[in-house]
Amino acid sequence: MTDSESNALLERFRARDEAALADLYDLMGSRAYGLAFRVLRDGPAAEDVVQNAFATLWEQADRLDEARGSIQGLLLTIVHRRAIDAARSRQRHAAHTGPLEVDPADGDPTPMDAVVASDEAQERARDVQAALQVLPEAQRQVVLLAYFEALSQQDIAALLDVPLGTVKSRLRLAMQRLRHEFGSQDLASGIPSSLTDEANATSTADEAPQ
Amino acid sequence: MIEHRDCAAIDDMLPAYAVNGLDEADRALVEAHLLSCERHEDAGAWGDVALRLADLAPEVTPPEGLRARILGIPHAVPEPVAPVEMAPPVVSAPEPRAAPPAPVQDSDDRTSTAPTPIRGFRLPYALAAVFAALAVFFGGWTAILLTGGGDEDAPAALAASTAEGGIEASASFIEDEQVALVRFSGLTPLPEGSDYQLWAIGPGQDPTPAGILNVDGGSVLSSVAGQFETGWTFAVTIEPEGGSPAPTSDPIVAVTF
Repeated sequence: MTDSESNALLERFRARDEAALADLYDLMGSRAYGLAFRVLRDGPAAEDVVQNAFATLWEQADRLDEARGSIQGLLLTIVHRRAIDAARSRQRHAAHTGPLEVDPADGDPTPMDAVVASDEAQERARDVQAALQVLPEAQRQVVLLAYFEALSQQDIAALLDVPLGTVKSRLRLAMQRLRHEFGSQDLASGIPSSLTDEANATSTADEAPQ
Repeated sequence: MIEHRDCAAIDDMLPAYAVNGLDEADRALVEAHLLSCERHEDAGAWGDVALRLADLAPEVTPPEGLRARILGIPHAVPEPVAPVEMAPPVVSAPEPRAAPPAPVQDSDDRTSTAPTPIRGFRLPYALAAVFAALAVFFGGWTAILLTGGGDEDAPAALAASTAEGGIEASASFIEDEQVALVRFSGLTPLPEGSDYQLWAIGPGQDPTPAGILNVDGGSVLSSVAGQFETGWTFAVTIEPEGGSPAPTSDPIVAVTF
């Protein structure tokens, strides 16, 4: 979808064109559901999150602004946010029965028979994997624990038995490096030139608590 | 948790905020700051990075039925500026917790026609703030290459709404999907030990449990599977935590097709 098509979709949403809801779902439903499922590992809960996110967009349609980005991206942002909230709520309820149990080595729980293996999706995933591979393992780990396992920095520190400052440092450096790798438009003014050295320093700057 | 809300501290937190790696207190700090400070134009770039991480999640075909429920959202979520057609509730709405438990006899014959509770879920309705913060934060990544299209709609076969004591309720029945979408706003969070419970009540029937509503001061949208017709009522009571098999208090709000 081109930027102009994306903007047109957003404009239809803002005008509360109900067909735009169908179009956005058909465009993004599998991505939104896949993201929610990846975080929650629970189909019904993922459905709730996706439905919730669409309802949010619809309800707040008059606030949409293409200058802020695409409606597709905003949908995924909301889906991730709600999935994280739902996962943490579940973790809190489970806390009564035992300690936090997350194995960083756990793989992707997504049922492979339901995966939509489009070329575009695979290419996007490969790009992100390639960027992640640039990170030191310790940094890659905290990014994935936060984004997909719904763990706060405090949770990650407890899980890995490292100081909170170390987790904050790793996550910040990882995000800076990813931003560089993804070629964010404002890299030059926002990221120090020493970033690469910092990100590659696995046992020095990376471990320094903030 | 930081207490000094200066811009440098917020900037340090933005990467973690982007991946939802902050705890609730720090996240609230960041969002409150973003809403009141225009010096973080760079914030959206972190949102772009987080969005790229979403590409690691495989696309998964959603379960059948989700599409129809989403297409029913316009009938369950009233437009803010549109006048809402009011329908009188058939269940009175006394003060919460005011009445003693009112036992309701269970019915043996409701299993074949009773709705199946799917789940209640919370709209992020502190939303005016949360959404605004997301919008402030959300950047300009538009590299979404999927194509697709759709044209069907799933009109609501039945719809009703009401407002009682500061609580608004609306319900719509999506016939194609055999599901009712029920929305409440204005419910205030309850203290520990109690929950809002949704009930579906057919004409002349006993209330059937239809899920717990997770409320944090905002709006709640719940979907209930079943065949609904004119005369069905969706009501909310306050129950002991986890819900009850039958209502133990009078409804605080009800909406009837």
